Amino acid sequence: MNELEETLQVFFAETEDLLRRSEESLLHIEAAPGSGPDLEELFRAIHTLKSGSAMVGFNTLSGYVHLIENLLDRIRNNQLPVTRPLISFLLEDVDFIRTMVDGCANGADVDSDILNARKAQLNRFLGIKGVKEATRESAADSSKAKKWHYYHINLNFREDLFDSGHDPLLILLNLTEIGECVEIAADTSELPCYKEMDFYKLYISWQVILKTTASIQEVEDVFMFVKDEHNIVIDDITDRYIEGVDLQLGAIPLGEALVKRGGITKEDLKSALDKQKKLGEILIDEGKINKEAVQKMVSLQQESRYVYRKTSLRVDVKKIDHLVNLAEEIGINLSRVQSLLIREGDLPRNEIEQEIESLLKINREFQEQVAGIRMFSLKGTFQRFQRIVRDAAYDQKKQIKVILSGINTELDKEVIEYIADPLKHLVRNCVDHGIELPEERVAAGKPAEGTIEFKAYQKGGKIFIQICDDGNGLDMEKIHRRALEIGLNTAGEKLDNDRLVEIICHPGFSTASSVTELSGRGVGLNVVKTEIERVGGLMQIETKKGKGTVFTLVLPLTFALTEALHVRDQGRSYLVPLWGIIGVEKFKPERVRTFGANEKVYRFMGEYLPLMNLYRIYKTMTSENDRDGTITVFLDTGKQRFGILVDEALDPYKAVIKTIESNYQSVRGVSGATIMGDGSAAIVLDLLGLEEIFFKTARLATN
Amino acid sequence: MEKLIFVVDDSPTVRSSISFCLNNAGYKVTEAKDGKDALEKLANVKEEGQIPSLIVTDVNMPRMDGIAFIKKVKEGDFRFLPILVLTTESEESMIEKGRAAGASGWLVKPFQPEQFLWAIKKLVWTIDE
Repeated sequence: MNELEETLQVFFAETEDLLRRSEESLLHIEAAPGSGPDLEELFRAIHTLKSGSAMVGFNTLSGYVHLIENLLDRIRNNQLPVTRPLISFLLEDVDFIRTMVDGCANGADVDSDILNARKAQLNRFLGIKGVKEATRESAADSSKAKKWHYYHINLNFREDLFDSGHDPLLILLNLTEIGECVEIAADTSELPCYKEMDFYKLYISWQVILKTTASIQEVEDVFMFVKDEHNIVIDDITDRYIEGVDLQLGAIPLGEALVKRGGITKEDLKSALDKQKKLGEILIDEGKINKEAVQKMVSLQQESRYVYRKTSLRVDVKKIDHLVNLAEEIGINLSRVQSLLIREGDLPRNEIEQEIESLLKINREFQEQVAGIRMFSLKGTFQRFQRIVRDAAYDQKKQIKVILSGINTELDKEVIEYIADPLKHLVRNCVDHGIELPEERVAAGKPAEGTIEFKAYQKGGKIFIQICDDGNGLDMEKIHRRALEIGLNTAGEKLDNDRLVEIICHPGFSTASSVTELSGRGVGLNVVKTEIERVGGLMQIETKKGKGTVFTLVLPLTFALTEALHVRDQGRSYLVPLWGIIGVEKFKPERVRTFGANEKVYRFMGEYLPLMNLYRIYKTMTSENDRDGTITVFLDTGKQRFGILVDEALDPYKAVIKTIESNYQSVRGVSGATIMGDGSAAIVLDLLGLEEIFFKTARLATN
Repeated sequence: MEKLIFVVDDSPTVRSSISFCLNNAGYKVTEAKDGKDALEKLANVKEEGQIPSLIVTDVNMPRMDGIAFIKKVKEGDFRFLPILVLTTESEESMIEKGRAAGASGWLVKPFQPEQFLWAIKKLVWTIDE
């Protein structure tokens, strides 16, 4: 990958991030119009996007984003009220920018009709810009750090410039006051012969390259009185002006370069381009290839570009910095060990051991950090859903509140990529079929505003993602009828939740009376289920008539990072997932009550909890180790609370869990294993499985 | 040679403060209290063989307002003279009217002296032609 491509990758990743943040802020602003911080956040994101896109040379994009920035500035200064249409417009803008960015990625031009229409609408929101704004902006810009900028300035005045009392020479002179004109070229090609010349008209245009510390705003201010009526284009070429050459000229199509420097207008270019046929069309016309083949190649190209983009990973700089620091620390430690080894006399064993100890510690952290790079929180995905719900609700005139919880739950990027689309479908399904219209809700005695809650949490070595709505629930009767129709069910059979999933996820099953844009095409849930199963997950549905529906996705932890407590028992290492731990304390025999032979309860926080030695559960008991552990770890699985006894509790540990199923077989009570920092293996406890074994064993013991 | 600037405003306070500011910056000033007054004084200046470098004019004035005054100037020998229009915030639409009449620039009152001189520099040569 060359440098330019790399820059573009970074830009695409950053843009997606900025757009997502913009959406989030917009939704917050809509919910609370007076929200200053959200507006600031939105403004910053858009501003960053503007400069970023200009930097990589997507000027159409940057120009458009600049308009949005102006609009936001007006909102910020209370010159423009926040209205629902305005928010909708801005949200559409986010989508529009997304298509523009995609266009940039694919080298396709944005539809100029749409662009112009949107620009016109933006300008209507903007109104006319007054002189005060310009001066204030320049004051703000001047506070920025000084560095050299190069601007290409195209001065194409109207020929009646003199009539308004302006003098082009004076304007050029003013330009030299804020910087140095490295190059000035006068274009005299329009100059008529002497006899036809009107001395009160201007025939000359200029191209200037200005070297200055001034911001683009300050340069614009030089043209303050003429920029609105005359064609003046200022282009910041700082990043691509090297050795007196604008590097960008070689990288853009001829037409664009001519618009920039050659004095033709975009309209000229467009009309010329319209006359030009696309390569594919020419080939089709000449009968060399058919239309389908061309389209197939185009879509293959798109797919290839999409995959290429997807394979890039955006990592928090802080994570990278941390890794760099750790790598440095390892280097320092190693050289220290080296110097200890070559020191004369006896080997300083103790010191070397110390160094090795700290090396192991660093290495452990290093491993955790590297594993963590692939992990992403579900935040972004959930926030996108917020947007989808909002749009869909708006379209269908429904009122829906979105609640997010557990958004910081981390999943492997790949898993997230896989489940994003299926989840999106479920979300739409919720809006479409779940939540009722406000009047229906009120009639049913519910608040007019429906609620959709997105929940994510980690439990029993699995990631759970839930989408809960408080809508009408699934229409079981209808589902039953439909199941009979397509022969999935027999008349008397009762539908339990598992069967329900099977039926409604059956290809071709759909009870939706009409097909909306969102869902109801009858293929949806089938695809969702298949996709989820492809990553080794499963889907559950719970529904209650009139109360709502809960879709639960249970996803494997294959790559997920688990935070766990490292405990040791009978010389073995175990990791107890932190989510289930409610307390750890030293074992106090006086708190134990014993029933029968083996059954014990232990008083913890005023409550007696069943207690068992870990070695009993895993049957690692031998005759000599039949003694109580010294540390009690209290667990809560959500259903049951109990305590386990172990020998030692060490530090909490962040582990990448490897399943043992693929190499051995599924073991109850074990969700996987991991390699500890010292190279030994540790068993990761599956708390749900553990609970099952625990209470079964306990029952057996009682019997 | 000192540049001559015409200051046209019906408020003596505005006139004198602008004059003070311009004198300090090294310009010569001729004051006029409205459009009619200014046209007469321009004619006098012309007879004396002088050429002003700039006209600074208010919009709302008795007898002849700024817009009408600009139109008159644009018909005469000083048609290529730069004209700076002063408006108040409530007269922002005047900027367009002024521009249509042939004004070169505009400034919204109240303004700071630096702002004013900054605008002047956009319209008047600071070195000798």
